[in-house]
Amino acid sequence: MQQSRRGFIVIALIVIITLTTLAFVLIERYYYESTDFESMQIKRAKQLDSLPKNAKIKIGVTWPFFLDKGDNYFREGINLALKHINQEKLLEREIEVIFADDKWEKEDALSIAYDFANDPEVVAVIAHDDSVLAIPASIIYEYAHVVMVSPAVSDPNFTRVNFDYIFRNTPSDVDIGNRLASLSALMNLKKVAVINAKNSYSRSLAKIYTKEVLNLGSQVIYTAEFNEDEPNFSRILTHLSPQVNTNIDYDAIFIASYEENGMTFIKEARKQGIYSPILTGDMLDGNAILEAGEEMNGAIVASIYNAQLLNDKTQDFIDQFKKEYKRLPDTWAAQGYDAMMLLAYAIKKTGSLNTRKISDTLKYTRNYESIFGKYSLNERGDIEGREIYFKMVLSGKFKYLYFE
Amino acid sequence: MIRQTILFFILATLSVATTKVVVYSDSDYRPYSYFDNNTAKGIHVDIIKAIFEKMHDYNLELRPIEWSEGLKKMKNEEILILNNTYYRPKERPYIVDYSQPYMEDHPAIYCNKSIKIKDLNNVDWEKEFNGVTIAKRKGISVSGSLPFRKAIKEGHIKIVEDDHENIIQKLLNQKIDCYTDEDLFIQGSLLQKQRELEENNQSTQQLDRILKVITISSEGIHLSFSKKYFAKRKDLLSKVNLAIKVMQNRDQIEKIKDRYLVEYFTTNVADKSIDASIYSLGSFVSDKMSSYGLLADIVSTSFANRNIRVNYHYYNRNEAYLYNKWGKICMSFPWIKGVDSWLYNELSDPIMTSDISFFYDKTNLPKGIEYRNLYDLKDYRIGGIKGAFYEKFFGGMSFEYYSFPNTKALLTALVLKKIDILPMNRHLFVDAVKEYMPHKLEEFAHHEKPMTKKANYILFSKNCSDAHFFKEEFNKGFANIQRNGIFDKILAKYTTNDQEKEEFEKIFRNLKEVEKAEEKSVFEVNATNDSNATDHNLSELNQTMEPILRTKSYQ
Repeated sequence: MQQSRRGFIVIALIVIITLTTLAFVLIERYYYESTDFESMQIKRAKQLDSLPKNAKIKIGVTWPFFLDKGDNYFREGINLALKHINQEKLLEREIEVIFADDKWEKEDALSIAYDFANDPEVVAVIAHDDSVLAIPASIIYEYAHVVMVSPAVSDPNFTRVNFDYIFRNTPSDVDIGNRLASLSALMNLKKVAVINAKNSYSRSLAKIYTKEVLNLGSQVIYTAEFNEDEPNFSRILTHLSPQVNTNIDYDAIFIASYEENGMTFIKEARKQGIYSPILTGDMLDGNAILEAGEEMNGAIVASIYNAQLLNDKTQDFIDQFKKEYKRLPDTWAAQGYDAMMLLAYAIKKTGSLNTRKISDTLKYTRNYESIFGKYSLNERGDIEGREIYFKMVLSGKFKYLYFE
Repeated sequence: MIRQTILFFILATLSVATTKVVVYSDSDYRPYSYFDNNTAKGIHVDIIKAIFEKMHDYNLELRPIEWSEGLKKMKNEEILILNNTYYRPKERPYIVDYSQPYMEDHPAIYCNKSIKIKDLNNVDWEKEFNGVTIAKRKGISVSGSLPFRKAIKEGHIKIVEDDHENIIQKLLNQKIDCYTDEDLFIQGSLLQKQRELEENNQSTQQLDRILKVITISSEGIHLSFSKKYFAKRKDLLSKVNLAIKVMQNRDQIEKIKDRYLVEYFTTNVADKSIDASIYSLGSFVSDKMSSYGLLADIVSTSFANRNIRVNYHYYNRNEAYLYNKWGKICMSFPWIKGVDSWLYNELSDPIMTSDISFFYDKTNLPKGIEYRNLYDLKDYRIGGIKGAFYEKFFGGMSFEYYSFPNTKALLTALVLKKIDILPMNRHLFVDAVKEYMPHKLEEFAHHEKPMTKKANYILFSKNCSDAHFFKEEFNKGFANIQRNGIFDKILAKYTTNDQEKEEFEKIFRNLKEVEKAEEKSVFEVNATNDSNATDHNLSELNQTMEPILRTKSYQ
């Protein structure tokens, strides 16, 4: 009797969850379908075509600003680019930035996207660090003819639809995963354990890495997933610990996860006597891992920014940032700066604020001289030719690893 | 204790350089640039290396040169890049380009007599240094203010030239009053002299009289480029300058300087130490002895011969292996050569040999085993550790061979008569039986004829920056103690009877011959996958063994 009641509750819960999800999907779809994107497009084209001479170019910037305690490198990168563009009069008009906090919530991201889309003077947006937000928002920007550049979304699905107005200035997980696999081969990591969190980013990165590392002749001796919200690493670490599993043999661990869980995993691993190199994606590329203690030694993170690049533009950017904010920029400051400068370049080259024309310019941008070196954009909106770097944590500092 | 920066892998191996750049640097200008056994060392050297590390399309080669000779060769366009030059466009027109200054020199005057200076910022050179003889190295121009140079010109101060070594000696013997050169260079030279005197048990009293009187100027240090320098100069020069800028922005140059000075001026050779991961191997390696056993004693003594201390960390065999491979512990022993050992380690000279013998259970085979050559073993069921070097041989021929994941499972199979014989190092076998089934020790035996004899080595993890240095030091120390008789004394210390003496002779003599013979061996050797399990429950093991037994590795 009790068993059948329990079964009923489980079924009821499943039904409720399914209906709620369906309701959200339908509401979202309703919003998309009920929005008059066509009139938005016409208004934007007209408004931007007849903009008064003294009017500024509006660019929206949305990011999880709430996460930052104190300094906000990303915002500062944007502001530095803005100062550079406006003070040096790189464009005929000044740029005005509208900042909005997406709070890492899809609803907020969509609401912000509608706000920007409804403002016919908004030419472009620099938006989001997470594909869960960026992909649905990109539909609104695409239909509203707002140029969108994401400085952080690496999910291959972001550009899969082949939209006209959607771009990113960051490499995709395919590039990052493949390069991490190449690094493993160069480091003679013949036996690797692959761990990932149960989320789409981590699964995708782990899958790409695993496929390529096997292609390159290494063995994947162990794979495991952990729950993102309540991670329990003990089962995984027990298996991998040479103190417990006296028959285990591997050269390195690859972990795909977001920052906090990744660092917790590394900390716990070290406690279990796992001193192997631990490779991970660019989610851990930040100051937090440097401040997390000696346990992080030997962690290797992928990075899309090399502060030591011997390139005048890179070093000038660092000099300017240091002068302005009295500290060195991080990856996200560089990404923000570059996204804004890329948009300014495209606007200038187009010679118009027509968003269709600007997006065409972006699609055919070749060998753009950025602070990261030269890169190109393709018709799908992906970046080509951007280097991926690797940094190892050593005593609270990053050490760049070079290879070709 | 020297800093053992664990790099986890040698970064240089990842760099793919395309253009070789040869930079000539002072052969004996401590602590800035000097060559020790053809290895460039010093503050300048570390900075130049760091500059080129950032330029991964260029490959740096540092070559030693006596500085004034270097200048001559620059003039004759025999060399292209010279380190440690001041900016002197008029005096040295043959130098066509200079890098940005990467650090500053501080020429100073050191004297062996008291010179009173009222105001360091406003020295009255004519009066306060009147009649003083100052020595300078040959070929080096004297830096300093106009009044200083005027006092020299007018003969108030006498300048003499000599070789550096002579100047230091004359300064000690009070044959000259003062010496002018770069501050740290003189400090380093005096420290070097002090170490020499201390090593020879001589008094260092004369040194105490020599003190710095004044720093006379500061000048930028550049890399200089000769006229003949090739077309890529501009690219190289701009990258060098950018790299210097990057380093200066991050205070990396100051940090290199500070780190080097701490090491150079405070490190005593005897303070060097290395960590070693070891595991139980009979009386050869044991945590029950204060010396950690005979082999550990030999290793410690070899390193002690080179003034290096060994810190032992005792682990299970797999931990010892992995911690070394991962670079957590820079040295581990004893290990036989394996595929992995070449990938991840530098190997010492052979330190001992070990036999792999065939073991059997006397209750199963009371008459022992018939074994003249390996093909005689076709009638026996052979067990082995998965991945071991002999697996290819036994698995590839028509042997009845079974593979096990670890030593414990293998021994259990022998006890349960699922296999008849197993090949294993004798010491490892005894250790394993003592650990897992001590009451069975008397029931096992091995055939006298070993399957093979292997040389054993110390592995120095390539993930540790000093692996090569420690390997070289060990090899030198090991050779020394064999020559000077200390090695024999250690063996004697552990020998209690003639049988042991004979055994040690087999194990520790003719190591190189064993190594050579091994190279011709048909087997490929794998040092791993022979770890000990810790669970003592045999019945549980028996259950886990069955499925393994069904998967014959040759099928």
